[in-house]
Amino acid sequence: MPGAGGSDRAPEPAGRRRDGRPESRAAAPDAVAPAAPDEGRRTLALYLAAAVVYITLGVFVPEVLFSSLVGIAYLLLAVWVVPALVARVR
Amino acid sequence: MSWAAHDLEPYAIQRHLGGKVAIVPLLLGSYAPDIATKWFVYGIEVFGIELKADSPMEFHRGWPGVGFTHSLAFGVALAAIVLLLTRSRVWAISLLIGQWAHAITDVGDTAGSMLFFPFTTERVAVGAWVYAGEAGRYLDAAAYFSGLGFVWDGVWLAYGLLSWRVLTRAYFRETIVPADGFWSWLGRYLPETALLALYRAPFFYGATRWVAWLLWAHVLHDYPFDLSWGGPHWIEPGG
Repeated sequence: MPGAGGSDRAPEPAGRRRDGRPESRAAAPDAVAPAAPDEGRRTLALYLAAAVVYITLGVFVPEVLFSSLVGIAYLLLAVWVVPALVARVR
Repeated sequence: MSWAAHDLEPYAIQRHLGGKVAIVPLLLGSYAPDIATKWFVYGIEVFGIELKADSPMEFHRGWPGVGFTHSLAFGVALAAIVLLLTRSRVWAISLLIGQWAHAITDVGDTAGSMLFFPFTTERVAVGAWVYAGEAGRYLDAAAYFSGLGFVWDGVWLAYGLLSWRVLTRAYFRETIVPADGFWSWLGRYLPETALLALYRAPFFYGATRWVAWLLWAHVLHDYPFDLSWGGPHWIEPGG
């Protein structure tokens, strides 16, 4: 996914601040800022690696392919939980 | 029956309708016709007792049965309930579009969908690929990924990959989040990396299972391809 990134900053509702007042782009310049190219490539590589592992697992243990909930949980683990744990350990 | 199209189609719809739809109800609508019934089609075992429909195809697509979940009217009813409960037109319309996409897609197999229920219980079927739910889920998968069904899913996968911008963080921030307060609410509890993973997960699941089932059926096993209309013909259609 080119352009995708891994920032841990949760998005605000568009055009509004938490206090409900309109928000200008100048007030939150990074809200729509493109991801750095390296960051995008790193995220793409992470998703591709997760896909290769999931496909390999699915071919030999096809039971995991039947449930979309399993698929969603797996992706959360692979691209969020595990990288966050690894980063914390480092 | 489609094995990946119901995961992938919402992203194609999203690409074309942008902020006029919301992805969560689109996906829920796309899953709705099968979400509570598919287990009974293939059957499950509970404490040694097998729970399974006597006629999976009739149960899944017919009447009496839960075939009404594949009708256009069911989508309208669901959307009306969601509109009443949430007062969100975007959620109601998105759910309707997602459910209709599912019902119309399933017209492609030999069983078809009761699209115009309750006005008629006649199933509309193009019959391009075989419906083999009665054979159990593994044989059903083998048949689906040997006939035109997997080609149909492949079209949606290719279209989704060509629409890759829909999956980017920038698109998520600029189009997905403003269209639906759900993401801002969830963003109070989860970081954006997790929100993005959740947003992309159905596409990821559809794409990877499409590849995995193809490899399982034709590399690990040796089920023959049969791309003729209504195929593969090495399995009896349930419709």
